[in-house]
Amino acid sequence: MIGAVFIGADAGAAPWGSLCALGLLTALLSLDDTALAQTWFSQPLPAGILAGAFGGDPLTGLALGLPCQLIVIGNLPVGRTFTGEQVAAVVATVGGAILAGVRFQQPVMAAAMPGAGQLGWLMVCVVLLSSAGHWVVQAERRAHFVWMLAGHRSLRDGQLQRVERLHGRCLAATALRGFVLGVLWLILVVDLWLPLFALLPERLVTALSLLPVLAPAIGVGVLVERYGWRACWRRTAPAAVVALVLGVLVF
Amino acid sequence: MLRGNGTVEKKRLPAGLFASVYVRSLTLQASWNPQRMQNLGLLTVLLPWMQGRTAAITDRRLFCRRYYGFFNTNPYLANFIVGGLLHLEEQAAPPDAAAAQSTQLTTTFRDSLGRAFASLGDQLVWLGIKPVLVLLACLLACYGQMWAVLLVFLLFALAQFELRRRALLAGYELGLDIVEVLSHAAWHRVIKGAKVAGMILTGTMAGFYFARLHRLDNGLDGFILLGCVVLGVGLPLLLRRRSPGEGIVPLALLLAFGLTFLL
Repeated sequence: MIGAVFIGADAGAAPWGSLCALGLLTALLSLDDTALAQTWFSQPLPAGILAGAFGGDPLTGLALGLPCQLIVIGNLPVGRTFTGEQVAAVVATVGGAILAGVRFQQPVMAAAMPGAGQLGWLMVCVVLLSSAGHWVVQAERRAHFVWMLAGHRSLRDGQLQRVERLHGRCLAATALRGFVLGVLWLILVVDLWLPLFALLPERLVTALSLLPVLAPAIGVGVLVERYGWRACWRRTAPAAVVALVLGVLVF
Repeated sequence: MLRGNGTVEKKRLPAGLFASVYVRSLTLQASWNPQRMQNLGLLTVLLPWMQGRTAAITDRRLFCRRYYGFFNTNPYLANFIVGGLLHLEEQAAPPDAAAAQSTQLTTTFRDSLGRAFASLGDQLVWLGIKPVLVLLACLLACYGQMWAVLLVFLLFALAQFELRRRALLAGYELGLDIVEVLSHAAWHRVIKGAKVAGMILTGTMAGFYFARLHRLDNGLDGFILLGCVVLGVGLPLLLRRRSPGEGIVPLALLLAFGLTFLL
């Protein structure tokens, strides 16, 4: 069944090795997101690069990871304010794009460049998958709560090993959730999302090609809103002007 | 502990216990749940201390009970509290029973410092250091410096491992005096510095990104590019609800669709 899903992939047959490798990468990065160490390699930009490297094209991972990182730059990955599940979304979208033969040659994609519309389409995919993954994370956290309640028995019988087992079960659940979501999203991207692009009306493709241009502006807007524009504009605006001039004239 | 010659001996965690607690502290949030948040994680982190002694069932039950209530703090700074709690447990253990601390003291220490470090960590990590590092990585990414991007995150990972190590040692050494660490002015200087750096990097990243787009995108009307900038920056400011990125993108796509009629 899954083999049929990858008919559109380069290899012609189901790339089981890539599927498992990307699933394991998603599991590892999902653990890193909140459960283990929190090194931030699970942020969209490094996750995109790593997924691209696993798929054999890190530049494509970078081209997709960068606008996605800028869009979610204001998301706080803490406690109740946790929003979205970007890890599986980014890894699966990058991996799926590479498996389907989509390549981006530039780290920054301008709207008029070929492939910009497809990049925008993949960004929408990341956003939708991340929103869907949010509910899976919430469900997993409710399962943590149920397991935590099961640990109340240790308050009566003093069995410390039970507490350790429950904590380990939560860790395993996170890794499993990452693996399953990674593989599932990957199949959806290759089998459903990318083929849909060919059916989109031209005007929508033009709008999608503007998304990579809007992404950094959204990131800047989010941060200015976070810092407070009154406090921020005196430092941000001159830096932007200097960087723009230097960027146009020098780099 | 006061030595015979009047000098103060530093409390040190035994190496085995330190290693076990440290590794477990990396998983503090693994069993995060909406009701009691990090309670199961905190108990698991502290368990090696209890397992290292031959305690009666009643002691083990009471130990579980002490740490099964609500607990939440910043994961990067949590080891200050973990070390402090180990210090208090050590004092309350039978050989030092004269200095025994009540369960109430442990609970008060855990709750009050948990809240204080959570607040400090939010300001320091999520609103201070994270935007700076991510913006720096994005800036490098604009120019295709993949290894440099990964290096930025690797350096952060190493730095936070070291912070956690020092925090555990300091917490264990200071015990209740860890409150003094909290009131240190250096935290606030770092937070202020990180925010200023974040503001400057926000502008720098925006400038370089659009300069790069301008170079690449000769076919796009400058007016449209300017429109994208104004709409993109203005959207989060207009929403004013600290919306997540996932919520802003559909609106941005609608605006982009509107812009196509001007192309």
